[in-house]
Formats: sequence, structure tokens, C-alpha cells
Amino acid sequence: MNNKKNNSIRLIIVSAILTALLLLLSAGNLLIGSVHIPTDEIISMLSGYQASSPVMEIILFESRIPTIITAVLCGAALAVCGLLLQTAFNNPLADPSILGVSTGASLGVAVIMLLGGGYLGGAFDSVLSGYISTLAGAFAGAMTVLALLLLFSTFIKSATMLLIIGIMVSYLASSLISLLNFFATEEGVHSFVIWGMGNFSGVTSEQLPVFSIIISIGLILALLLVKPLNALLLGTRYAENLGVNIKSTRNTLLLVTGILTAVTTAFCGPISFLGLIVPHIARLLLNTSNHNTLLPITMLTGAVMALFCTLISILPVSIGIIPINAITPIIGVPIILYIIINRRKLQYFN
Amino acid sequence: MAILSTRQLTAGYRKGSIITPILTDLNLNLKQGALVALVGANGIGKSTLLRTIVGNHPPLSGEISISGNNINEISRQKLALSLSIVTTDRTQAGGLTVKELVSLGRQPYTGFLGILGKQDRKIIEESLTATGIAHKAHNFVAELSDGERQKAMIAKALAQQTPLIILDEPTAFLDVESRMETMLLLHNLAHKQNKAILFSSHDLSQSLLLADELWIVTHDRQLISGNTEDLALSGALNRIFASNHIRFDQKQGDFCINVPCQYKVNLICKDKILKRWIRNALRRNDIATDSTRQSKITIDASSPQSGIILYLQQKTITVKTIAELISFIRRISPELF
Repeated sequence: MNNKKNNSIRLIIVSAILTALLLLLSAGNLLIGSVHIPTDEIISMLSGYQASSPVMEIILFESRIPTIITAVLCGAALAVCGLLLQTAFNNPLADPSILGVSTGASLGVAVIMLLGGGYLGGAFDSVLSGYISTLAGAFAGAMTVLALLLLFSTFIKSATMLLIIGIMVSYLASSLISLLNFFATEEGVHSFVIWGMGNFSGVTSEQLPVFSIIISIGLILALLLVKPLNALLLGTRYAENLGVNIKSTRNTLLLVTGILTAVTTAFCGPISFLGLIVPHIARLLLNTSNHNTLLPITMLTGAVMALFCTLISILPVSIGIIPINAITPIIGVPIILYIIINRRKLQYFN
Repeated sequence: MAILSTRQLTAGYRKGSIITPILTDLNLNLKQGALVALVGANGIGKSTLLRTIVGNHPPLSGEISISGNNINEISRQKLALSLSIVTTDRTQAGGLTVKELVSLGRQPYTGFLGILGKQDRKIIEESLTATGIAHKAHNFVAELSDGERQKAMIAKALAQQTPLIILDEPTAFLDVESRMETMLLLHNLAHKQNKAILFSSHDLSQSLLLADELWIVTHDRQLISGNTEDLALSGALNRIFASNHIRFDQKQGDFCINVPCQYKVNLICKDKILKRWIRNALRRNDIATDSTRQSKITIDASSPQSGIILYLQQKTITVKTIAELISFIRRISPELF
């Protein structure tokens, strides 16, 4: 009986702490930046009053707030992708970057950015067409990798082998990216490298609605997968016996992962580690594998982690913004090591 | 009426144009309230047959009906209401509590989001109680012993409320106590809850004790089905293994080694239990105790309180234990037998 009571108390405490952290980190991201804006100024601007200078208004509404929203949505999206893939592939190390989905999306972006940027860049104004075509490229790349994985999964039953195939596909995509880089123009390579470092401030306020809507649809679709995901914890044979349509569940799951990974990668670059570690943090916090609570908490934790990384990236205000992908491994690697070392003690592995 | 029946069923594998039938032309029936054991040697095709019956694997030919419906024609959802399974598959369920695991059995009945109603909760509680795992309801599956895990999986199958439960090697990884408990549980579910339960096993002695019916897969891939005792008496069990060195002992209800011994002795013993174990020890040392063959050596254990007496060439040796008897006999040179 105790365990049951503990678990519901735990859920409440964990959600409360994460929500508090989410608000705190958002506030931190609002306040800190290369341009100093006083706190009361921010509060008054948020309350709808005119700012003392239009520059501050632009910084707040065109940069800081979009960055926060982007980080929250990206964090939630990547974390959910990780969880979906970990359950579906029955492998605690699955995530969009390890399975090659991010690399596939990157390849798509590289094709658009490097080939397009190199040859077509001057031909038409690329402010709007730029992001739509990048998005399309990322989506095509991510879905190609997912389709390949799906194809292999029809005759390769071992989840580990499938994971290795993902890694191989990832290498292939990387080699193509290198090749594209080799033949691309200098500016093309430069902007691709900058994009590849990852950052949450790449979504402009004009792009934000499209970005938010697509990510939200993906997140809602993920929430609807909770029931079959729980059945899949028992493996496909049990799930099938419980009435789950494995094929359509798997297809939906991969489609959701593809959309979320493609959109986040197109806008923010291939963000590493968040998809891998956040589901583990959420499991450790909640002490359960039950997707009813694990999935929403994974989203929340992902948002918090992304905001945390963003905050660290802007802390050295005088130097500029540190790339997100320089921060995520520093947080991610210790957590993965902790999990590997303690895996016998963690019930969700047994 | 049969819950499960097969007509001209052939189970096996198809790889391109190469067809490998494993078990052919099966006409089987499974009635409610019966516990049926599918027995046979390892690798003979028991699991293939079970996988085919539950619809995980397509049959090469023939029909399978569950509750009167051809399984190819009913939806997965409807099948989930007729048949529940317990497999030996590794799961990722360690981080679920036992109750959460058992709740998964209600999935065919719940809506899109899987929210449990009052009736669902009641059935989950009943399933936990019926399998004797209720005291662990809030423990993590990872914390359970193998036997408890098996009970939890059976509770999941019960919560699914299907007239038919099929289990693949439910006692394979269990110790003797858990094995007995699991078998008794299945027996009770069949008899008290009127379920049709089919399980595969290579542990024959347990199946003989508690199964109402046997489906025997012989070494040459014939399937013989029938009442447990009728089959035990018919000698059908001797057809499980191809080897002549193993024989089903109808008296003991288990398999025994059937290798002719090189030596023989005469054994006099009235106490049947003592006689059984002396014979066991002698047989292990290549010595038969066939009473029709006269031997130069006689062992008299008719009054064990004064010791076991060994007569050998006018000599008489008295020993207290079977260990002493055996260590003495081993020192006798072969030509003296």
C-alpha cells in the first residue's frame, strides 16, 4: 500500500518541482542576455506597457520570448522522441540521434543549405523560402532514415541490431554531409557549421506560430500513444494479444518521431543527448515505466532541461552565446554513466 | 462446445518457395474447464504450434477457430477477448508495479486512452487475489522472483477475462516449489473458473499429475491427444523420444533410463521403498536386479534394522548404509558376478 501512496505523492512533488523550475528558468532566460534590461522594465513590457526604448521591446519580443518558447517545445519534443524510440525499440539507448534520424534530417538540411545556398542562394530571396525548404529537407531526410529503419525492422527482429543499423545509416549520412561540405561554398559551410552547433534562438517570431503548431500536434499525437506504448512494454507478442495493432502503432510512432525530429533539427540544429537522457531522468524521478505519467513528465523534464541549457549558453554574456551542443554532452554523459553503472539497481531495466 | 479447434491444420515455416511443415494435419479440440499439457521433446515444434494457434504465426494450411470464429476472420480486438497468452518473452515491465502489469490485461476493454473503470478495477483485484499475488500488488515487477513474475503474468491473462488461456513453457525457469504452485494455480483456474487452458511443457511428471488431457508430440512429429491416464497406459508416452535408452515407466509415472546393465545380483527385500532406492543405486553402478537371472551375488535387505547382508562366495558381509554397500560392491572384480 505504501508504494502506491508514495508514487502518487511522488508524482505531485515531481510535477510541482518541474513546473517551478520551468517558471524560474524562463524568468532567468527573460532577464539574462547580452543587453541588460532591468527587471521592472521587463515586467512592465510584459504587462503591456510601452518600453522606454524600442530596442528593448524588440529584444524581448523578437528574441528572448521566442527563444524560451522554442526551447520549451524543442526540449519536450526531443525528450518524447527519445522515450517513444526507447520503448518501441526496446532499447534504453535509443534516441533520434543514435538511430540516425537527426543525421538524416541534417543531411536533408545540408542538401538545401549547401547545394541550394551554393547555387541558388542569390537567385531568390531566401528569408521565407529558406526555412520552408530547410524544413522540407529535414523532414525528407528524417523520414528516409525512418523508412529505412522500418524496412530493416521487417526482417531484423533484434532491437540491438536495428540500433546498430541506425548508427550505420547515421555514418553514411554523415559521410554525405562531409562530401556536401567539401563541395560547398565557404559561406555555405560556415552557416551549416553554425547551424550544426545547435541553438534555440533560430526561430523568428514570424516562424514561431508554424513551428509551435507542428510541434504541438506532434506532442498531442505522442500523448495519444500512451495506451499502446504501455502494452509494448511487454513486447510485441503480448501487445498484439492485448488488441494492439502493432503495425499502425509503429507507423504512427515513427511518423511522430520523424515530424518532431525534423522540425526541431531544421530550426535548432541537431541537438544531441536531450532525447537520450531526459526519458531516463524522468524514469528516475518518477520511479515508473508507466507511460500514463512518464510521458507527460518526460515532456516537462525535456522543457526544463532545454531551458537550463539555454540559460547556461547565454550566461557568459560578454563572449556571446555558447552552442547548445557544447553543453548537452556535459550534462548528458554523467547521467548516462550513472545509469549504466547502476543499471542492476534500476528496476526499469529488469 | 470446443473453445479452440483446428481442422486439417499444418503448422510450419515458409521461406520463399521452401515450405517446412513441422506438424501436419492436426484436428484438435479444447474444451472449457480443461487443463491441457502440450508435451514433447525440445525443438520438436511445441512453440511453433502454440504460436500458430494464437495467430502470431500463419498456418501453412488448415483452419483454427476460437470460440467458433476462424481466427483469420476475426479482428485482433475480438481475438483479445477470446484468448490471452503467457509467453517466455523478455519484457521491459520491470518498472511497472504488479497491479499496473495486471491492469494491462484490461486494455481490450478500455477506451482510446486506457482509463480504467470501476468494473475494471474490481476485475484486476480479483485476478490478483485468484493468483495469490495480491500481497505484491504494489511491488515493482523487477522485485519479483521468477515464480511471482509468472503468477503476475497469469493474473494479467485472467484480467483479460478470456475463456481460453495459452501458456508457453510457464514453468521453464521456476524452482520445484514455484513450478508446483503454478501448476496447481492453472489446474484450479481450469476447474473452478471453467477456463480452457493449454500449456506447453517438457516437464512430464508434473503434467501427468495435474493435466486433464495431454497433447503429445512424438519424436516423429505425430500429435496424439487424449485423456492423461489413457495415454499413460497406452504407451504413447514412449514415443516422445526417439532414443531407446529412455523409457516411460508406467508405474513410476516418469521417464527412466533403459540401458541394459552389464552385471546382475539377486535382491531380497520386502520393503518396497527400500528396494526401490537400493535398485536405484545398483542400476547407477551398472548392476541389474532382475530376479529371473540368477547371480552369484545376493543382497538381503529383508531386515534392514540389522543391516544389509551381502552374500558372496560363502562370505557374508553386513553393511549399514547403501553408501557402504555400493563402495563394497564396486571393489568386487567383474568375474565374480
